[in-house]
Amino acid sequence: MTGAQYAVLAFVVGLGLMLGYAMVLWLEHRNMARRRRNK
Amino acid sequence: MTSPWAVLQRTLWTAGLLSLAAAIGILLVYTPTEATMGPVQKIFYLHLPMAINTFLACLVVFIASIGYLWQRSTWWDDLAAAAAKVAVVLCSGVLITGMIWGRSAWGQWWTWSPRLTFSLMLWLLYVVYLTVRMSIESAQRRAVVSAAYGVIAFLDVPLVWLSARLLPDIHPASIQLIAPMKLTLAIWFVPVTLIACGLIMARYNLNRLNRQWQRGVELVDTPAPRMRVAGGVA
Repeated sequence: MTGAQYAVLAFVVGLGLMLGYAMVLWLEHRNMARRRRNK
Repeated sequence: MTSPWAVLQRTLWTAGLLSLAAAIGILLVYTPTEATMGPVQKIFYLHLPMAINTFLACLVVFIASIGYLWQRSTWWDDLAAAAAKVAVVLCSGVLITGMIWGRSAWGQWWTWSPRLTFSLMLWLLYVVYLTVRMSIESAQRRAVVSAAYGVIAFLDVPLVWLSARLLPDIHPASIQLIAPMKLTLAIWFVPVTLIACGLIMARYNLNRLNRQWQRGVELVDTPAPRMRVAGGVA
C-alpha cells in the first residue's frame, strides 16, 4: 500500500468510528421516542 | 416547542459537520505534503485532535465521578457514563489511526513503546469501566463503584501524556510544523472537538431518558402500596 492509501484508510476508520457512533446514538434516540409513543 | 438544549445540540452538530467538510477540503487542497513522510503524515491532523479529545472525555469522567461522590446526584453518574463511552470510541480511533501510521512509517502495526502501551492501557481501563457498569445491578451501588473507578482510571492520562517526554520512546514527543501545517492542525481541532461534545451530549440525553423510562416502568410494574387500616388491609 502507498502512503496516500494508508492516509485514506486512517481517515475512513477514524471518522467512520466517530460518525458511526453518532448514527448509533441517533437510531437509539429514534427507537426510544417510538417506544415512548407506543407506551 | 423545541427546548434550548435541543437547539444547542442541533447547532453543535451542524457546526461540527460543516467544519468537518471544510477541514477535509483544506487538507486536500491547501495543506502541503510533508517532505520526509509524504501523504501519510496527514493522519496526524486527525490523530492528535482525537487523542486530545480522548483526554478531555476522560477528564469529564473524572470530574463527573467526583461530582457524584460529592453530591450523589444521578445526573453526574449519567454524564460520567456518557463521557466514558465517548472516550472509548475516541481512544479506539487514536489507536487505529496510530497503528496505520506506524505500519507506513515504522513498518509495523504495533510496538510496545511506553506511549503506545499506556494508550492501550487507557483504552482497556475505560472498557473495563463500561463492563463494571454493566455487571452491577443495583443502580446506587453501580454509581458509587463506577465513580470510584472513574477517579482512579484517570491516573493513566498523565502517564500517556508524559510517557513520550520522560521515557525513551519511538513515538514522537513533538513534531516541528510549518505555518500552513499548524493552521491545518488548528482547523482540525474544531470539528473533532465539536463532534466529541455532540457525542457526549447525545449519549447523556439517552442516559437521562433511559433512567426516566426505567423509573416509569418500575412505577407501572410495582403494585401500589396497600394502606393499613385498623382491623385489616384496605
